[in-house]
Amino acid sequence: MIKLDFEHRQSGHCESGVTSNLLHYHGIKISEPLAFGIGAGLFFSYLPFMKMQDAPTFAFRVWPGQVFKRTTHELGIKSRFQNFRDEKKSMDVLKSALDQGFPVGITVGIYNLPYYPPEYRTHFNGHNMVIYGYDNDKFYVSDTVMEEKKEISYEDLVRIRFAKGAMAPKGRLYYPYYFPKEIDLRSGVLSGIKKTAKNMVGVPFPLVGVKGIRILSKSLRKWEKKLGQDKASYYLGQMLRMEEEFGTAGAGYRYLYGAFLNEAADVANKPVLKEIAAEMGETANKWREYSYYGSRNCKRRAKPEESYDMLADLLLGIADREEKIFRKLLKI
Amino acid sequence: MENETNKIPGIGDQPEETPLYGYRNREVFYFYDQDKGYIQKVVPHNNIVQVLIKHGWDVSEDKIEGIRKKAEAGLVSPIAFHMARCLMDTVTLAGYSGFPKWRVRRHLKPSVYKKLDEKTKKRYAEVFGTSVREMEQLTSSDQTEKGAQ
Repeated sequence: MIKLDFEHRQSGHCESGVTSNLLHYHGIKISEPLAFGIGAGLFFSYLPFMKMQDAPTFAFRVWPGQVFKRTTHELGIKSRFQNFRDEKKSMDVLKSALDQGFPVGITVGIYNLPYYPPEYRTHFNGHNMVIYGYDNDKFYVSDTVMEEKKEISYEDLVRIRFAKGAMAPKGRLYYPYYFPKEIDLRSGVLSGIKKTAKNMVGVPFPLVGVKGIRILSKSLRKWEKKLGQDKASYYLGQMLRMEEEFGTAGAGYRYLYGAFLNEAADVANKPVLKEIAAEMGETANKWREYSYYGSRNCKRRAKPEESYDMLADLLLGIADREEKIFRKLLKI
Repeated sequence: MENETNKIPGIGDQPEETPLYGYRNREVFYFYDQDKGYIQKVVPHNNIVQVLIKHGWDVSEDKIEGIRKKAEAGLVSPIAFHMARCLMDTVTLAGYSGFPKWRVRRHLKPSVYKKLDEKTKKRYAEVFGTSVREMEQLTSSDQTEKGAQ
């Protein structure tokens, strides 16, 4: 048996939290927002042709797995990533990494996660958590969604690591093993900002970034007529759930990113980032306003002025604000 | 209107301790305020998220009920009902059962389902955590369809 002295810190976003906690264990003190920003986690895309749970796909962050990968890469940390076909082998590799003294990050599906809040039950396969020890058939888990550390049995762990369906995790595990003597946070921060800004305003494809928000706003106006009341409110609800739920730390990661910019101003010694962080915060508040009126609509308590048109106007305002912010960040 | 706007959860609000929907978990949320800047707080879900979670479960319950009626009328196979009950889509069910997607989609038709042998049905029943008999009666001992009680 082995139980590493792992510090469990709850966080808003599972993957950034895992990244930050894993690096903390190895003495690299970066906060959750920093991990999220250096990993260029913020994004927006609206894919109406790709249906997820009978609704279009809305994404407010990059593909799961990217944040850890980019953050460690930017900081010159080497990590091991592995997927598996064989269940037993995946557990053996996990145990041997723990024996060597590395806490291990794993990707799991949440549907069969025994301790998870039941209201979250869905076949979402991109959740991340850390295993920091084991004892016979019991594994010690640090899950950033939960307030405390948890335990899980061998069978349950196998089941969630080999969950099936879209984005099946295939027993994926990862852990950092090599750390350079000097960590250059400044260049990591700047490159993370640049990457995010490019993703948001520099991609020549209409459905991603700020352009995606505008297109979503345009199609939002048509939903009610085109799809009927029920389906339109389901689509809207799905979009808002992606924005406010699923470990986004609120307002589709916008608060988290603002907090990152705020910290980055000190790390990179660029006071202008403080101003942009304030703008990001205002934008995040707008997103929250949008989800508030949207959620009233889902409840069918919306007043006439809170129609889809009004929501679409709010989105357009948000798109303008974000475009301004990311154009500025592009020049940093 | 002013009163309504105040309900947008802000930095100082403490969400209600008893949520609309069963389980309570405190999570990390970030807030921004012009005066206080960024603040990280561990709080229960705010009213927006609670409404959204409840909306999601209401919609899926309606959907499951609709498919149950269809299955009872013989318009879809029992597999379709249990797939919806376990919140699965064909990709997920194909993954768990080991059948290719196109076969799973065919098995949702009652005419194809009738011709299935016991072994195939059993494989599905195992995925759904029921027996074949229960599966065909559209019942199940474990109530997975309701996420939160």
